[in-house]
Amino acid sequence: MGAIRIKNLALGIALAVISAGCSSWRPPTVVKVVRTITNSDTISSKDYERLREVTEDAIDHIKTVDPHIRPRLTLSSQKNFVDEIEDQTRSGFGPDLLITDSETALDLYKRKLVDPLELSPEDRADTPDYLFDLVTADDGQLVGRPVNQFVQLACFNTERLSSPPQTLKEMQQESEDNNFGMALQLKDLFWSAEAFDAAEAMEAALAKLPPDTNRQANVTRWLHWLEHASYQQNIRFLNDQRSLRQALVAGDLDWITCWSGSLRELREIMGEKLALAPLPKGPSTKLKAATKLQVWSLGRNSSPKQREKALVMIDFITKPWAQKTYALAGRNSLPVNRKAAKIVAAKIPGGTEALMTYAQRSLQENAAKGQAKARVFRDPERYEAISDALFDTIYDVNSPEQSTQKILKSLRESDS
Amino acid sequence: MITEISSETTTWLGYLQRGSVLIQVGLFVAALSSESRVKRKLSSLLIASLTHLIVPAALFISASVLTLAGITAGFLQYLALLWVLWRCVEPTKQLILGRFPKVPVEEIDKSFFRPVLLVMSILTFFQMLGSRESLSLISLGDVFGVTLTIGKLFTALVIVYLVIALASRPAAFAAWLGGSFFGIKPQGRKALEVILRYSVIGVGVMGVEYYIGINGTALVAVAGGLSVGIGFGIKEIISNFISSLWLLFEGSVRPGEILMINGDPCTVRKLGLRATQLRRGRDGAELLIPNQNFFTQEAESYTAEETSRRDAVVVGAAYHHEPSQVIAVLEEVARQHEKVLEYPPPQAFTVDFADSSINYKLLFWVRNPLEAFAVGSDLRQAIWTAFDKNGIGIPFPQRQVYPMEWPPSKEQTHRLGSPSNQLQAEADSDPANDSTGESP
Repeated sequence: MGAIRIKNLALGIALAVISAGCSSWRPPTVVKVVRTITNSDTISSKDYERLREVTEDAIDHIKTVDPHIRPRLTLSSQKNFVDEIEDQTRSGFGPDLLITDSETALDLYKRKLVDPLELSPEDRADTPDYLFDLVTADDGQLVGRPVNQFVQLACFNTERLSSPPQTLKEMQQESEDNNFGMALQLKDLFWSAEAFDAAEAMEAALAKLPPDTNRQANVTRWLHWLEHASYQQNIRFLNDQRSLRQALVAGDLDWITCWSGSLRELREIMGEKLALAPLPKGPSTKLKAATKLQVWSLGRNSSPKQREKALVMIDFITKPWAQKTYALAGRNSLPVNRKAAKIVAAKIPGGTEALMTYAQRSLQENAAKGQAKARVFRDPERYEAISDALFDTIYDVNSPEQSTQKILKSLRESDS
Repeated sequence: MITEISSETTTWLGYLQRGSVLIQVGLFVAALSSESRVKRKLSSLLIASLTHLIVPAALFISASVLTLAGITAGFLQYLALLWVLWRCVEPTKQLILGRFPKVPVEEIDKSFFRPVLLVMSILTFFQMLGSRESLSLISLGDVFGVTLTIGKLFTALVIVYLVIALASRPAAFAAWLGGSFFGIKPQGRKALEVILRYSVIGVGVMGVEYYIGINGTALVAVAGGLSVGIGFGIKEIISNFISSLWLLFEGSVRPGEILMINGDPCTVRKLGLRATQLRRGRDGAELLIPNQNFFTQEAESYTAEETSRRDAVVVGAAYHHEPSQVIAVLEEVARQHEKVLEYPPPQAFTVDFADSSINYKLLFWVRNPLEAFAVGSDLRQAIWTAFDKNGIGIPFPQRQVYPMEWPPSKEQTHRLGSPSNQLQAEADSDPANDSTGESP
């Protein structure tokens, strides 16, 4: 008897909820936004505090544009992100908007966890095309809208290092007095490949072009440099960016490669001691800019209203005003909008010239167009193979020549 | 805290704006409410035990098929899975009990399986909602300078529960292992087990405190403050706890012991940490006696060194029987009883020249102290039979009642008072009608 009553009550509540959902009165539309962070494996309350600081104004601005939007932001670590989104989407609780990097967005699309985006030529006009290429899937669909770029820089401690090395050669010379650190990840070391023009050889291998000895020699030279760097007493290869940042903060390292996305955290801890510089140049004379693209993608579970509001938010965030305002407020990313990028590049205050330099470089299409990079990073197997080859070189398991063959062979065998 | 929780709640309300979520909830509620009707229809076709499973299982299969087909039904699948698991608990228990009757299924179910199911359900539910991390980071306030979040509190509670619930098994195993290796007596092993168990719990609780981030100094300060409180407030509990450990090690009070409590033999059933549970032999009442009583008051044990107990039966025999004959009969009766120990042998003694009988005491030993009472009863019956067979009488005082007038007539007074008319002569007239016998 009691069980029947409970069941009837549950039925009543469910009907009430359903009817509330279907009634003419419309509550504000909740848009769930998930943003990945790469700083750490787990999210801390500090991350949420920072998020609130950064987004408080933006949310207020969006509410001014559309008072019916209630954006709710949650953070997620990069680790297991795609699997978690898959579980949520399968159950109907997936986010309406996903803020992540271009590779993850492509991965999400591959697993049918995001809906493709359609942009009019007007919407595309202010963003460089190569950025759209980075978020275009094999079937030609746009998997997300590029919003920001994070650039790779050198972060150093001014108390230990007065002038940062401009070239890789200088770096090896200075390593006698100072401690330099790099992360042992292909994503974080790729700038050094570009400094030796090794990326071109990889691109050629991916395009299945006939082997070219000159191009191969660039890869070998890059690997020789890596091998030689690993022999230096004061050049250290740590596991990831997080370990690098910790070592810089602790004073174990004086110079590290870092991504502009984590500048806020470093600035908070190091204050005036932190300075930025462009990454050292190699033999290559070509302009390069190592960037990570932040994209906004559409989740699959949204109701029509939620989808509409999510598109309003994407549209808002890519407008020149919003792009400029938030890029200047954060001082850790570059807007993708050309107009905004120019303003940001001009307004970045002293001490962050490196960002400015990159801002200028990234505006030049040829400098930042990293097709090889994007394709290698998108393919987990190739990525793994190249990473293994790098480890083998640094740990002296294979010679640079052997590793070169391994890398290029693996790229040639790719399906793409 | 309120802001963050309301923010999370708003996110969940946002899910109710989605048709796919509402349909899944609606389907689940519909399945729930239609279950009794479906069960009624199918009851004749299926085995009784399967009827509980049919609706949840059908719902789970349907939801799985929908999910495989790419339709959003993961939430329905999840709810149905929980339902199936819940319904499987009882049949699984019966199945295990049927095959392995000695497995403590009930204990495992209540102390382990159900709490684990609950915790897993909570975690997976919020994981599915995408709120697990953000919810776990909501701060509840500062404890000893450490910010306590919902996640930390939840984890701490789960770990403390698991440590308390699961510490007994490894502790028992370690105690058994240690006991076997070092040749410790069973009561010592029991004590070792209790100490190990509480050590594991202590270490677990400390670990949880360190996990939360409370540092040792704060704990020491708290312990200092608490010790004063303990000294005044709960000293009895602590005293009982320490007493229990001591009793376990000493081995003087252990399960199975027979103790005399207020003159009644009682069996020790369980030595708890606060009190010892005993069963009174006389009426089967359960007694809970605080452990410290065994320290502060004397307890009479029949089993401290050995379990056999000596009991006695007192009987009187008429003066005209030769005591040695009576003693021989009594000892023979005791020897004939199967529960009376041969050694120490039963012995009978002449203990008193009483008013109307010579009193004898038959002493005998029994193996189980709780049987002494019953054996005493048996022996008394056997003595009656044996005395009857041997013509030995058991004398008893007799009372004779005479009707009297008041005030007595002169004749009566004279008659009663005259030496030639003694009371005995009157009694002889009709003893059968006026005398009442009393058992000794």
